[in-house]
Amino acid sequence: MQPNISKGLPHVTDSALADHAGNDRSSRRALLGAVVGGAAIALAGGRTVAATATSGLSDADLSTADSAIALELAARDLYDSAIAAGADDDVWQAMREQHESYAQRLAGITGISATLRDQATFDQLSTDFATADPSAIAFDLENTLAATHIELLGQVEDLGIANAMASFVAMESRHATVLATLSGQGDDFDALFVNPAATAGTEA
Amino acid sequence: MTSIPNPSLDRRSLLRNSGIVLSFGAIVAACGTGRTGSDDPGRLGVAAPVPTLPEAEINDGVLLRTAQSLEYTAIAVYEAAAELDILSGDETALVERFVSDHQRHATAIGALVAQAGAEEYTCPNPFLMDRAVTPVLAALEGSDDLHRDVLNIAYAFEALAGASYQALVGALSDASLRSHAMLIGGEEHRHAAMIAMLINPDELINPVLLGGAAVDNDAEGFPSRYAVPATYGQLTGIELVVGAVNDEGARFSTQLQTPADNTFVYDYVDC
Repeated sequence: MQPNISKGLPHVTDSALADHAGNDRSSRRALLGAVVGGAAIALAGGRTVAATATSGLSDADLSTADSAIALELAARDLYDSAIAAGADDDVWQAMREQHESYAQRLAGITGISATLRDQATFDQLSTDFATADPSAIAFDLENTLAATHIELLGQVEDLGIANAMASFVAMESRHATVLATLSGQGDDFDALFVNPAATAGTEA
Repeated sequence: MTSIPNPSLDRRSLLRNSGIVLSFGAIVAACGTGRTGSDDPGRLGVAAPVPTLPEAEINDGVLLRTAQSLEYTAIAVYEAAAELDILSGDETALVERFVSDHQRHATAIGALVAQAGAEEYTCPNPFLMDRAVTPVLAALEGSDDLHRDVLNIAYAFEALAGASYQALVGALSDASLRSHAMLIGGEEHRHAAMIAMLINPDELINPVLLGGAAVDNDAEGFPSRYAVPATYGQLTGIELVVGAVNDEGARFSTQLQTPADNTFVYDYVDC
């Protein structure tokens, strides 16, 4: 797939409902699902939650928030990899800043330090991100991060964390639509408007 | 003999103090025992009596019914837009997809409404229709650019839907419903992002997020639309400006707000 990095009018055609999901995208998505989803749902695995009990949050919430912070920092660093590799469009800097802000927001709520990224996620994706145009892999990453927050929303007890995560989902969903367009999927309505990583467990 | 004025009892003070005493007297008399009649606040004129609203609880069923009504409101807006016959073929295909998505959302929310023990509400939100949709559509009369207006209307209502689901997260008592809400809310935001890209294809990201200056309105005074407008999803009012410039040099303007007490579709509200 040859991404189209131009920011012109999104191309919308009558053939937009066609399924353009090829093997390449499917395998990327599977990888992300395994890495990011696993990291989040496993709730922090080997990381130590350093927040004190003074936050008033349950251990489960602290662990969930810690995982989410680590994932957001991994996303930030992945965009940094792209920028270092020559991705000089403003979009990449903006995405980097967005994810750092999300980590800091959760850190502010929980008292957890936003310093450690999810190393496994970073290691798995850093090669794909080290390019001047990471729009295809970034599209999948944003979908997966949004899906992760959507799932965690149903698990966290603290309303402050839930509200913060909901506000992340709102923007990460928009990121995904922008990246769908930038990665040449502007005529694929499903890619633009549906998060394929977010349907599991939320069917009515 | 020199008279000595009494500063605490001159004529002016006496009159003022006697007025205060009379006023307190009236209040005390009004609060006296043995009064009869209505306890309602006093009214002037012969207007019809204020109707007594049924007692209503704001529970998950009501919140979900309200969300369902927003989906039908969006569909009603798009149906009205389609009648204007102003969109291109590609844009019409896009709108048809949005309508299909909203219908799917309405069905999904309807199932959750039933799970919550409430009845589905398969109509547009009555408050929003009266206070927002109808006046906005009326303001299109004589518009200098209907196409611009329709895109702005679509953006505003999609952004409203997205924000409304985000607001639901903090209001729903059943935490498991939050995921359902934001699964749909995320899709509404995707719609909004797409429309923003149509309105403002050269600036996908709000320049504020890149350290630039805030540009709240474009050169013609319309709210600036960005595919990525902020760091976090916002719950503030969504400004919508449409129509032609009136005699006072202004266009029709309104603020769309996420659902509140007056917008909720309570159990007693029927289609």
